[in-house]
Amino acid sequence: MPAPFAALEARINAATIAHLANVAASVGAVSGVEGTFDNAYEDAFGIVAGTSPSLLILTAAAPAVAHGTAVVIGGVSYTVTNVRPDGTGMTRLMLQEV
Amino acid sequence: MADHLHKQIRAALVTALTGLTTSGARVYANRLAPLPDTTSPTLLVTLDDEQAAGMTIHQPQVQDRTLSLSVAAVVKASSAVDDTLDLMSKEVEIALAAGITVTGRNLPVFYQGMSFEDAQADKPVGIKRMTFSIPFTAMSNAPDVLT
Repeated sequence: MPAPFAALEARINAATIAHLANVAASVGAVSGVEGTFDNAYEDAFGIVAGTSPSLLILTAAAPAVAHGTAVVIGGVSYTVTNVRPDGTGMTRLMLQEV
Repeated sequence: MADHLHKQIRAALVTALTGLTTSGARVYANRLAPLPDTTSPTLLVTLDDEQAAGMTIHQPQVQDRTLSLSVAAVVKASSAVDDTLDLMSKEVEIALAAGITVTGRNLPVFYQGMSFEDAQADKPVGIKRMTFSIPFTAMSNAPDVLT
């Protein structure tokens, strides 16, 4: 049975990464995973400065990713602390610096 | 005229807590600016509130005061945040167990308890907030002098 919107979602996801990816990361054993890396300022308890790093990728690009998977972006090593699939083919990986 | 006893007590607390093994010189009183990574592990000293009870009828009044304060141990690290916080609280409790010195007099510092919070950021962050009380006596018209 045709699923035209699913096909559209897949095309949009692919286009999003193709046009907006700002890094090529190593995710576990998979290298060259393109994604959008965010690392905006975020403090804890209003007193400890920090950031909230995350990487948005195509779910299919790293299907085995899980809590604890090693990620390297621009020479900086991270660990995945949470995997947040959006259910439409994109997954946001929440990261913690090693 | 000397500084208000609150300021003198706060300064004495910072002196007593400076140089501990884990936090070293990273001791701040009433700090509002966010702490960068380079300041971890840190101790934050804050005076929280004070209760005063008059001991005489006439003015100026002799007042028994109890100052409540908190010492927050703050750690941001990739691992062992809770272990480091526990070590810091041990060092703090020992450092204050003998009291503090204000204008040459010893003021007792009594441990009241603690609360703990942690959060996930680019590295794990934890805060162990210890509360203490300090009883002292002062005249209502001379809050800068211990009675």
